[in-house]
Amino acid sequence: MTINSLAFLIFFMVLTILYYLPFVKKYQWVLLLAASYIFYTLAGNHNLIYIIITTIVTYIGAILLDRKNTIQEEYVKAHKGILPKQEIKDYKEKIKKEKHKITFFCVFINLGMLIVIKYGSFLMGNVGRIFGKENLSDISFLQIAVPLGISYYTLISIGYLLDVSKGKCKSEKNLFKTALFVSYFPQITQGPFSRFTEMAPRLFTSHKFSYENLSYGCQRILWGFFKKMVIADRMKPMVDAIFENYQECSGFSLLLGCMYFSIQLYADFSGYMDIVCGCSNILGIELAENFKRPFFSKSLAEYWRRWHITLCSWFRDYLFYPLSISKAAVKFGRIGKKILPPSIAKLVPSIFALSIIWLSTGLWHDASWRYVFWGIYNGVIIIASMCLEPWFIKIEKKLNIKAENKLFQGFQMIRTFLIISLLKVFPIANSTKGSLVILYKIFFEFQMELSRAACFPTFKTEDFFCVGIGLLIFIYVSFKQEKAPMHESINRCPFVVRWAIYLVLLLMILTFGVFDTGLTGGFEYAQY
Amino acid sequence: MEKLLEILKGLKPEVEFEKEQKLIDDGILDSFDLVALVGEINEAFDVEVEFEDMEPENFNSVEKMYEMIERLQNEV
Amino acid sequence: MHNIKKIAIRLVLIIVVVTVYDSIIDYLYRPYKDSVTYTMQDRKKLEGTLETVFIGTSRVQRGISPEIMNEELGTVSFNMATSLQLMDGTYHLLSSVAEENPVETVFLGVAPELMLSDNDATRSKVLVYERMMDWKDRLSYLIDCCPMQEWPYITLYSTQVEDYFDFDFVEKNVEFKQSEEYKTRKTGKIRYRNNGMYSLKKSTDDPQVTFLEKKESIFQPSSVNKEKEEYFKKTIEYCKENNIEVVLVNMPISGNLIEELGDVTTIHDYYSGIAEEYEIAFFDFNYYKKLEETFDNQRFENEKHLNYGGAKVFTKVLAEVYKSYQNGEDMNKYFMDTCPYYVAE
Repeated sequence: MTINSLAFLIFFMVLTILYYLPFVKKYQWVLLLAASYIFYTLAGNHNLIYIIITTIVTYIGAILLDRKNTIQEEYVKAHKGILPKQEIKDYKEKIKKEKHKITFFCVFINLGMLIVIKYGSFLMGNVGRIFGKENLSDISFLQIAVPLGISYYTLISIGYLLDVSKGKCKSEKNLFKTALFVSYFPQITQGPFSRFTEMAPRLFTSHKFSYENLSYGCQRILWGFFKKMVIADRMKPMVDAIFENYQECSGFSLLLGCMYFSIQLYADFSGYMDIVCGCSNILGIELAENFKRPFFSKSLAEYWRRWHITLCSWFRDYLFYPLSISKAAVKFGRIGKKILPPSIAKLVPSIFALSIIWLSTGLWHDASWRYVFWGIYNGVIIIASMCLEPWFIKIEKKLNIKAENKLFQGFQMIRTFLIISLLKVFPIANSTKGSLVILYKIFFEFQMELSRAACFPTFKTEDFFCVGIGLLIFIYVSFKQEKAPMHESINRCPFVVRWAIYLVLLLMILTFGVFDTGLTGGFEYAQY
Repeated sequence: MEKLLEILKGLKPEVEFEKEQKLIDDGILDSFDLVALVGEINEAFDVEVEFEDMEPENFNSVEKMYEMIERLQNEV
Repeated sequence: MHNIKKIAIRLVLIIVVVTVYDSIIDYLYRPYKDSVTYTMQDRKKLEGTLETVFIGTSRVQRGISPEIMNEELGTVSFNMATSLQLMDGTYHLLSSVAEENPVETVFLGVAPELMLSDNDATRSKVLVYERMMDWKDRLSYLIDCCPMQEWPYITLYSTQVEDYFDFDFVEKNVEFKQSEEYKTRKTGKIRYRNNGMYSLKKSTDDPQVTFLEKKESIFQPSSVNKEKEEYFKKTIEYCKENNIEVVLVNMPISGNLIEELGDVTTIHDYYSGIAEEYEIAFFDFNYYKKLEETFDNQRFENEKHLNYGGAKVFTKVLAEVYKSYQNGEDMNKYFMDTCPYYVAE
């Protein structure tokens, strides 16, 4: 059962009815936990052992860390002013080391499972290649089916552990509540990455039925299905046609294909987000947003603040900051100050951290070299633009370009869109070699051809209409949302207008949506 | 306080730090600015800002930053 | 509660709008040649009176004429066969018809190729679903036999339309549907014949169609899909419980199909076995004594289906055989012990 299926909608409807029954009130979270595990099993994955291990390890780790924090607090309180500062500092260091041990152990198990399952074959294959053995990636115990959502729930759990270690939140004393946080079904397939501090008060309190939540949630679900079924699924055959035959296509077609894929992926992923956020809203639990109109970004760095926001903020808070203030970074920073101009030298710790981040983010997506290149591509462009910023500002001043100039902003957005589209070469090709060949073709075998077959292969009149209208609606909504949330403007319309909009969208889904599940399958980001 | 303001102005001269109360929440200082800032604070005030301290609450305003610096200095 | 009322009103609104919209799309886009409209009209007229049912795949749909059978046997019959009808569809369709009609006899066309495959075309489920009259039967069919992801496709015609922008087609379609020809069915444009039957007049040009030498056997009892076999037996058992006589019929088929499937003998033995187990009749027309002279190329529309001429002849033959069977005559009068036309290698 995937999120974009009738089975899920029926499952969710039943859950909602049970959820708001009067006698369930205090136990809504228990119902959610049961529902999450049922969903996990129904989604095809019967191997609950991994998520259970992660839950238990996280639960125990958090309690231990919390205990250390409490012990430290009490000690400091009891001995402040009595013992010399140095002794207190040493004591704190000792506790810190113990906390690090606990954290390391938990992270090792959780991340270890993730790495072995997801990256086992990749690593063994490469190790084998170094030692001349070609088939190490085929070892059977490494062929474990990847459990649903492992990339997502592992990172969420690690985030929770680190937050407890930091003292940002208290550990959850109830194992089952921890289990709910880890396995909460709207976010398990493709995120968003949530934080315990935000989710705990929402997940564990009881929620009263609110008609506004139901209405807003349904709006979002409808909109999500529209994006997924009318836009994303309609574009998929065309994108697949281009990239399955990439050897025969010109660089021009391939570039177009990348751009289409950017749009398709956005419609797909943001559609999913709308559906799960809408569902969660109906239950009274708000989820974090993952997208903020990313194609309005004027730079790659801005794009990563608007695309898959929760992934980036997770990496920023739990990897980037610790890395950039680590001893290694400080060392590099000092070296940098000696050999580089000051404007760049101050960026060295960030650059050091960024390189690791982009490598990790790349590998988080998939275990293959093309994602390493993807990470490098992102890292290089962002680091380069950071370093070259002072020069860009000088050039803009010389050419008398103002940042507020709409034309210039438009240019920046188009440029960013092209950069992002080129980035898509790596996910869309099935192999590293493929992605490099495609890049080569785009730059050196461009061959622009303005025929329908070259620009829109396999697209029929119907597809033009659906995707065209769908995109126009999508773009219009995006523009409006840059200024104010869409659902507020809709709610101000009279009943007839509002319902005309909903019904038109629903009928468009029935008419133009792709229902042939052989063609569509589930969501793109569920594979990560 | 002045030292801190000097550092901040050196980083981002166009921002009016005295007035702002949501430097992180509103995105006025991004993650790279924050890292560079931490480096400068560590050097200037001889403290060690740790991972535990990297929270928006500690950096949203000049006052909050100064509070954090003072706390860290007291612990040494 | 106020909220429940609000939600209920909106749900009703959605259902009404979707149903009306779907009906409009159905009228505009469902080709006039689609036999289901006529089939359901005839069903409604005859509901409550049906005594004989023909069921199975398109070979039965195009091969047995209820009009002729009514004359020959003095019964009221209906052809409920559909293209690629799977055994679970047969079971549900038959039981839904039998509940509302005094059915006494069922001629069940066998389809060995469909007993093997795992690939269940959603299209075949649509055809069965459309022919059910009761919403309860439809719901139980959906729940029992169709994965949930197929439900929107099966229940709503608007999801099935392939090309919404073929406006020429829509214009011609609607025009014809409003014409007298369509209403009176007095036209050569439609292939619907009578009471669920659908058949073409043309005969095949392919010289290779009939009486080929066969190749290796694909159909083996061991490769039969267990679930499908269960439903097959369930259908027969249902009939037995409700005092309905079951007659298994292997339609005369062309050499090409035998070529696909394999050994005629294996198929014959498999179905004979089941017929013996349940003590029902099995007429294997591949073993029909006068097969060569009666069913040659002229009688076939293509390698798999009899044409209208062939169907008329076949229905008479089937009626004759059935009457003899009823009289307790020896079936060796009509059928051989082995099939000389398809030689095993």
